[in-house]
Amino acid sequence: MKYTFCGLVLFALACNKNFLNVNNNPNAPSSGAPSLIFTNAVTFTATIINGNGGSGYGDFFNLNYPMSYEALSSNYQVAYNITRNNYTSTDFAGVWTDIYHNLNDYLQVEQGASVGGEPFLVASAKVMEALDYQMLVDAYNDVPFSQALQLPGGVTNPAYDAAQGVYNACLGELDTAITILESDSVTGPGMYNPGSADPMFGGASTSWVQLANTIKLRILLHEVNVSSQSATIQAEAAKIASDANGCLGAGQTAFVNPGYATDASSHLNPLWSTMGYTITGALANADQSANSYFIAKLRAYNDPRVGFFYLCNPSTGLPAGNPFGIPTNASSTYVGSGAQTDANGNTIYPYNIATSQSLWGILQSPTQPSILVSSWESLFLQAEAVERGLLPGGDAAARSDYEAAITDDFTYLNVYTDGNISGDPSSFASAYFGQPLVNVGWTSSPDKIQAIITQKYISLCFTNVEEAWTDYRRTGYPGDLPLSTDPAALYPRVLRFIYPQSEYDSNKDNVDKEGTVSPVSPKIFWMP
Amino acid sequence: MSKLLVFLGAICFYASALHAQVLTVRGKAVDEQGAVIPFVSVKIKGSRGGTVADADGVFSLKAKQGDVLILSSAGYDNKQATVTGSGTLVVTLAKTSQELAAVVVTALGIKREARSLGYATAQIDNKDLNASQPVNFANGITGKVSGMNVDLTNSGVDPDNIRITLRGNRSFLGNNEPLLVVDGVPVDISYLAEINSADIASVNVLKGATAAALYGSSAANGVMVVTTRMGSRKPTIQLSSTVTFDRVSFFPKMQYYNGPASSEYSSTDAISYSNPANNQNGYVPFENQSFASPYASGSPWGGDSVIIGFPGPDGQVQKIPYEPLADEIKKFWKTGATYQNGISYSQGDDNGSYFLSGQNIKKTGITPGDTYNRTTVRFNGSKRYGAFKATGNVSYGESNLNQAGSLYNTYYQVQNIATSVPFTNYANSDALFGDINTYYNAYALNPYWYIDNDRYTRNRQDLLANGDLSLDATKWLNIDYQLGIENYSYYEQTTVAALNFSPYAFYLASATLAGNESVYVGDALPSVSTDNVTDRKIYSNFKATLHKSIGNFGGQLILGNTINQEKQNYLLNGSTTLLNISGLYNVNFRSGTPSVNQYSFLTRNYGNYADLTLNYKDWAFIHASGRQDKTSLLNAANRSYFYPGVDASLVLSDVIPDVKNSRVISYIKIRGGVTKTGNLNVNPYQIQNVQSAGPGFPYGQTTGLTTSSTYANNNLKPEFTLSNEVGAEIAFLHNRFDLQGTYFYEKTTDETVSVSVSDASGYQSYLENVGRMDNRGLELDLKANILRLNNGLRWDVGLHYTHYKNVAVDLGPTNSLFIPSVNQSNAYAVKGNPYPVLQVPDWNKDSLGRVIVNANTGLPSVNSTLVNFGATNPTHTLGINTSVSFKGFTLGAVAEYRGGNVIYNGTGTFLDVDGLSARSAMFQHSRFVYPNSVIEVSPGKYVPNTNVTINDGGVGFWGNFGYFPPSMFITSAAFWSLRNVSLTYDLPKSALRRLKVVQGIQIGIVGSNLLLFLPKLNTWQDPEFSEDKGNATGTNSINEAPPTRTYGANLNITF
Repeated sequence: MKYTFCGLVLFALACNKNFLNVNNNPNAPSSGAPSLIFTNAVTFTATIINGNGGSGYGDFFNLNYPMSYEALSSNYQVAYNITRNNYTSTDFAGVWTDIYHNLNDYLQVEQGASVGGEPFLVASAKVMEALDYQMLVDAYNDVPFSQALQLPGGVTNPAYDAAQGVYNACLGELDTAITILESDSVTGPGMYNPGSADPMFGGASTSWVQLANTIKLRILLHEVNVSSQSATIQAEAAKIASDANGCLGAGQTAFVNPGYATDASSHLNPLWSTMGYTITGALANADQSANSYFIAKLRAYNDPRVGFFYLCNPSTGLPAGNPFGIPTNASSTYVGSGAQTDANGNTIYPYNIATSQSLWGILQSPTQPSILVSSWESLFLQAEAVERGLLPGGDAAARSDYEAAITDDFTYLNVYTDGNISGDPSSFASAYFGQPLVNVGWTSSPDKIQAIITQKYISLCFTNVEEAWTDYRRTGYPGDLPLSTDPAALYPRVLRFIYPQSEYDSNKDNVDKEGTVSPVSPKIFWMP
Repeated sequence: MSKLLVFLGAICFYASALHAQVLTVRGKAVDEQGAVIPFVSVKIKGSRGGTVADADGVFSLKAKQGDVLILSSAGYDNKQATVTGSGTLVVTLAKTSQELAAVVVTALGIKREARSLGYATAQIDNKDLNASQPVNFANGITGKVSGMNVDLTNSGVDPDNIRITLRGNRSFLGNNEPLLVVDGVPVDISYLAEINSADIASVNVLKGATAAALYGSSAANGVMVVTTRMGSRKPTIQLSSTVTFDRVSFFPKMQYYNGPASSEYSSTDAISYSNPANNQNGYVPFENQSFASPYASGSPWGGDSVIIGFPGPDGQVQKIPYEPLADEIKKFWKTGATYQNGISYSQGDDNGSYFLSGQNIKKTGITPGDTYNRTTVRFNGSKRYGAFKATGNVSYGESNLNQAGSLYNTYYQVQNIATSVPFTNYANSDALFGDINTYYNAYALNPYWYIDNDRYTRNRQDLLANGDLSLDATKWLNIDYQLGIENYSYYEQTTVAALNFSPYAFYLASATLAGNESVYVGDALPSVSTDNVTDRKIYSNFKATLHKSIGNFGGQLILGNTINQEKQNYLLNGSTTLLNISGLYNVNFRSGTPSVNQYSFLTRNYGNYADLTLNYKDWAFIHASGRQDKTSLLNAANRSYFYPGVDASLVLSDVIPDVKNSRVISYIKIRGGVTKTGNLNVNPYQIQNVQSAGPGFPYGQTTGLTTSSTYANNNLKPEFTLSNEVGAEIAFLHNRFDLQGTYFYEKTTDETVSVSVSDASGYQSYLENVGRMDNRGLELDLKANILRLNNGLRWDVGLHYTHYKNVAVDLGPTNSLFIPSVNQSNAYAVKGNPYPVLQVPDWNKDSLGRVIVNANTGLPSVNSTLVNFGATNPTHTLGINTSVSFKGFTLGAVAEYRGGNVIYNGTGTFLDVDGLSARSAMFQHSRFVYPNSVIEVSPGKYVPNTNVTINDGGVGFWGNFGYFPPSMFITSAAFWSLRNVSLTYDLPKSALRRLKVVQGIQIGIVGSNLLLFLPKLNTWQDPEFSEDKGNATGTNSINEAPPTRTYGANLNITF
């Protein structure tokens, strides 16, 4: 029938067997080069850590409240789920969604790069996967791992793996990555190098090894209280110690910068666009305020960085912020930022110091690189590992790492004044840790671990709240971290995330095996 | 029926002088079987004289020899009889049941006798359609066809605000709107708003799959077959002019009790605005929330007036009386006006005809500044030459829409203002206190600023052309070929002006600590977003019709082939950082990176079909059709699919002697059919996995790709609907009452469902053919000619009742499927429940449904588990039409009831939070016991709460943003609406005689949506309004303007 009529109609094409083969998609590629996916994936990991990721107000951002890095301002309606720690399965859901999406991109990189003979990308993808899983475990404890990312193979509802097992698998992945990165297939002449497609290290394999060792050290210290792991921890730490490349050292912050720019709001540094300003200069978070506990704590330590984390006078700590809980103070602007001016065109903070310094504080520029892992965090990790005897060097090495960490943070923030005089950041750092104050000066601190974690907590403000939260949960430091002032708070403090609602909707059988989950239980396996 | 009645009406005007000898004529009217026909109307040709027969068919009247009597009765052919002398005149009238004669345009333009159809259809003719002078002709169908739901989803100038479904839904996530066919060519459903309704001769509604199957997979949801007018034999010019006005008919119920204040400010703040007498919620002059002391208690500072807003830069202060202004919001909305002017010319002869028309529509909106205009022209022509007949239609239309860029920004800012504020004084958004720096509200811009500076424009062109060549090759063979093209394109642009706050605004923000928009919004550069869509569809249909009768048997076989091709191109560019040059919104002049996007697709499909009808003695019919489709959208293994159908019709009244001779029952037909259709619910290239640009990429020279969050399924298939329907058509009392009923049961399987999977699988969802939706329902249509009086008075009534129930029987691996929407959606498909249902979180409740409150604070708490509140589509719909005509006057009315469903009123969320809703003030913003609440006394044991009051009945409860569960804003969506009322008067011919060229003048007044009756608890919005036109019904919000009432007048002159 068809052929009879075809002759009669104007569409002679209809008879052609190719008539229906018009499915060459003009809108998007069906596969992309692994290096292009890699560039995006690394940038996205940095966004998850520094901003609101792809899913809006959902990532780690809200941890800044219970960790007393920031507070709500009273000039807007109060968000009670925050003040009451009344988190549900819809809060923080972006962490889960974004990280698994990110992991799927790394999987595509790994698979494509294996076929395409690009071992550098295979190894760096593995390092990033370990980082992603480490963040997932620290937030959720048990998560899908061995059956994860296999929808093309038909696994729609992956089972959950024990958190301890995921941690161990990450250690293995990091070992594999380091082996590849230190092998001839990467370092040999003429071997594939991603170059500028690597927005973090520009193809420097040594830096990738250092990052891998730092993440491994982070994992080891997170589970340092788990006695059954002590042999593993010892053995893995020994590998780090014996690796000539070591961990990220002073000045070796793992910065990510795909080319942040002010030409479009989507091109701003994610920390800037989350906590700072929009592309036209409006406040991104007008309902936020500085945290009064954090101001008081730094003021007690005579820490000039208070004026660099916040827009306040480093010598007076004014204007005051709000506590975690019900706000009482209507001030809005708070994040330490260089080159901000008031309506009259004057630079507003820090007070009293006329200066030509333009880059200082947490928000230095809308195009500043994102911090994936800071050098000061790495140095604090090393200080703790040395102090615990996992890495060699003893007390002197631990103190050296500790003081180098503080100095690196002062340097990064460009602490050019203490509110009274101007000077060099490292000199302010030396003066700071030279004070005979407990948990500030090394020799004055009877509990070195407490000193390390306390100073690490201060220095991680707005650069890695998730790590500070983990340190608090595993060590209990800082011990005076306040609870919510809201009398109706349902939980004293969020200690873990609830699995996202999407899991209860789509993967119910598996997530139900984890039992009833609240913001405080079950604990992450490494929690005491 | 209508032709007959028009004729009857026409002869009323006949006048003639009596002369010659008069005698009394007696007579009797009988049918072909000799049975008497009661109440036959008898007229003397050329005279005013006449009478009506009695119940036994007997009549008598005075006439003269040679006079011609005309006998008429509904359901019979008119019969003439000449008066020959005295004696009884027995006149036999032949039955011409309207149903017997009517020819219905069915699928693919195949004309079939209505009595032969095994399925339900409905036809709306030009007159019915245009009774209310609709701009979008779908509004003229509302309430007139059972099984058809025409939802008006918004008010405003844009007529593209209609959602139509026939017999409910079949697809969970795909399209459920019917196919629109204009003069045989399938066109985009958006063309509804672009066609001149005066050009439409008739709309045939093919309700079910059985009727529509021949159109292929695009017609699984039924078809609206629009046929435009052809030339009349006599040269005729028609002029039509209509003007109508729109006024807002319904506002959310507000409180006029409390003035502006919130909890955030007290005397401890550095603001001197608080009530010096009581520091609590005294009065805040820049606040949008209304929790201040009652208006009745007078100004907090004594005297008559209070300060409003911030002082101006030179110290200017605004003072207003501290009292509510009930009409301020009403004053904001304008009276919209619509002017429709049309002309048509038609002419024809035995061998051909043509029709030429033009129409212009100009509208202004209820929102200040909104305009719409549309101009359409059409040429239809046909010519016969021997065995050949050629027909052609060309129409071109252009429309221009200019409306507020974001209704949210205008309507919300209007509704979000304390009732004491005379905000219509700020209509000049450049003047002091209206401008961005000194506008009184610290949390919003002046709504007039948005109206002046945030605009959306759309320019659309539609070109529709089709040619048809038909050849009567032999007596039994007709060959027909049709080629049609639809080309539409539109160019949309949204422009927003720059925001430049003065240093004074920033000063105010820091000095008062109240902030204002300079802080919350900040300076912004002008922005523009422009997109352009061009869509071209080519449609080809070849059809050979063979018909043959042998003895008592007749048969018709149609074989054919259709080809469809669609090509679409989409381009977007925009920038939010344009150079600040007043009035210039061009992406060429910008800083930073523009946003750009491009998209295009090409799809093709073709189908071969066969359609066979057999009849026996013209009272038994059986009809079968089959169609094989092939589509480019699916992979080669799945792209071909076949669907057959069969239906039958039996005219019992021709067969059963008792019925044949009955004086009560005139006509009985029973019918039934079973058909399978395939509904292809796959977008172009959707079966392929693709990479897209990562978020933010490219950054300068750096590119990055990311994996899609949806996993493509290469093996998708069409959704298949098995549709069953049975029906009966019964006419009584010589067809004065015509009752039709249809029961349908549709089962759709292989639903294309987006299966949500664990994010840990690497993806969020994938598409799969799983799931099943059932749909069953009942349609009843009663048409009654209640009165047919001899003096010309006629009264017709039509009732159209629909009940249907969609049930999500199976959803594959999930039990609940979210139905996404362009805007907000709370609609879900839930296994075992009606489709769709509204699911939202509710308060924590005990097993008896009582709200559990805290024993100390009296506060209820939200349970985030979704609760099912019921169906969002009406389960019962009743349309009532009536028409009364007398001596040239015709009064018509359409009313409609819908019920059995629920609606989420998003408008309420803002009004409660702002303390502006009447509900929020029902306890005068003071402490109260939560109604029907309980307190837990021991685990699982609850006692009624009689005395624990909510600790803060003002801003702490009502103003607590995001605290209420959405269930607080769900009400019944039932309504009664008086859809249309029209009164027309046709000037008598006698009056026109002096105007030689004028053949007819009709003047009329029309009104639409005149009355709306809602359940008491729905104080928010018209429940017919919806956030979008998709499947996710049941949610409206502040994005929808308030509903309007339309009234006006029209004039038609025929030359």
